[in-house]
Amino acid sequence: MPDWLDDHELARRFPSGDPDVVAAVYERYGRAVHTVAMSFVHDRQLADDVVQATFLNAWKASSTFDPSRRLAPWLYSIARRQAIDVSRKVRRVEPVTPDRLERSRDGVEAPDAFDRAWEAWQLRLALDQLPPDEEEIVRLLWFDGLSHSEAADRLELPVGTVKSRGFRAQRRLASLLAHLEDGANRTPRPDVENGDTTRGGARS
Amino acid sequence: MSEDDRQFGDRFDPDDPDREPAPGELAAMEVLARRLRDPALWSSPAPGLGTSIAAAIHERRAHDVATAEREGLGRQSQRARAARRRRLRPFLAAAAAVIVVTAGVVAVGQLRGGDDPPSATGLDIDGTDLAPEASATATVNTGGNGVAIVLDIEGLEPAPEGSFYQGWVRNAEGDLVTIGTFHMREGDGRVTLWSGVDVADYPTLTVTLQEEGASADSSGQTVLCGHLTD
Repeated sequence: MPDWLDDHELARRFPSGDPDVVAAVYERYGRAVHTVAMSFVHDRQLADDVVQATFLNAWKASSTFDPSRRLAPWLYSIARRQAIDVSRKVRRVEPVTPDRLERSRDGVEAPDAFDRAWEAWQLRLALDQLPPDEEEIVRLLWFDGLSHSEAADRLELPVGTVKSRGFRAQRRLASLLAHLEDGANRTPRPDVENGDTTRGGARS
Repeated sequence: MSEDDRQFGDRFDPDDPDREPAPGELAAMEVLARRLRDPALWSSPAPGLGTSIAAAIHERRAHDVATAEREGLGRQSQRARAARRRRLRPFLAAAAAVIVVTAGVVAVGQLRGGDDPPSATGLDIDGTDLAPEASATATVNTGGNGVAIVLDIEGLEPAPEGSFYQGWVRNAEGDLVTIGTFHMREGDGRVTLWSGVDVADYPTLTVTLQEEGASADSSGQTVLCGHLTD
């Protein structure tokens, strides 16, 4: 991704459809969009469909987007709406079973699902800012559940290195995500507390 | 401290191994650890997805630009024709009566046999039970060389390796005429198929999933179906 393209510059150039600019936007936000999609559809192939639809729809709407606003919440809103649409279509064609009825109680419309998706979006963007070696250690330790020794064996690194990288990653993530915690500085979820930024971000 | 400590609030600090966590720090770390266990965080898009998205947008953009240019040229041409008509109006008025009388029969005949009937747009094509998520909107353009059927397809999975999609038009007797093949593995879902028969006579459009190397006949595995007449 060209480092010289900041978010506003990307937003300004996005409507051109220039493949390099689209690729840069995808590189910056593609995985986070996929994460939001997975939060709703729980299927990698469907999530990829959501990613594709999100970027196409974002591009179609980009000429009305105000580039002085932040790209991230706008893309999040589009991704969330696409993911919900796909999730509803999938649920429509599923046979009604007791299991499905049970799942529908905490389905995509549940406020919890929106909060989880928003948190996942922010966490994924924070993980994307970690150096690759730190992200790998975070995954091994706190998602795969390996011990420091097991992670050290897997990565062929000294245990102390795994610990120090893990600690650095943990501090960095905590710092990047401080705004997620309750309090005055908490970042509002764009679709609820601050209006839908898909509309709010667009020029009228 | 155990090496096997898996708590996110591990107090090891290479800069200050004896440092005690700040009040609330452990709790915050635990919340973070819980969030990190979300599998959605660790799922990755398919390799190459970004490239195909960039290509699809580029292709759509090129199509839009070409369409706008065609429309612009069309408007210019209309304006030029209108100006020319205004200049020639006095001369044409005198000649028109003669031409109408002598060529009227021929003109009527040409109109009857003309090949530019109005196009049909916005025709809904539905996914079948084999592809219930799929749908398409069809636009029919009848031209001098055949009938272009443009499908804007959504929700249709890429054809698996070793297979492809094939479009057909069908008449009331059930006779099928193939109108082309595609795979949906890349691109933005817009597919142009060509029919050499009049869709007024073959009004049903179907899309089937075909196996490479198998019979050239329709597999019968219909994924999309709809009508090409309003």
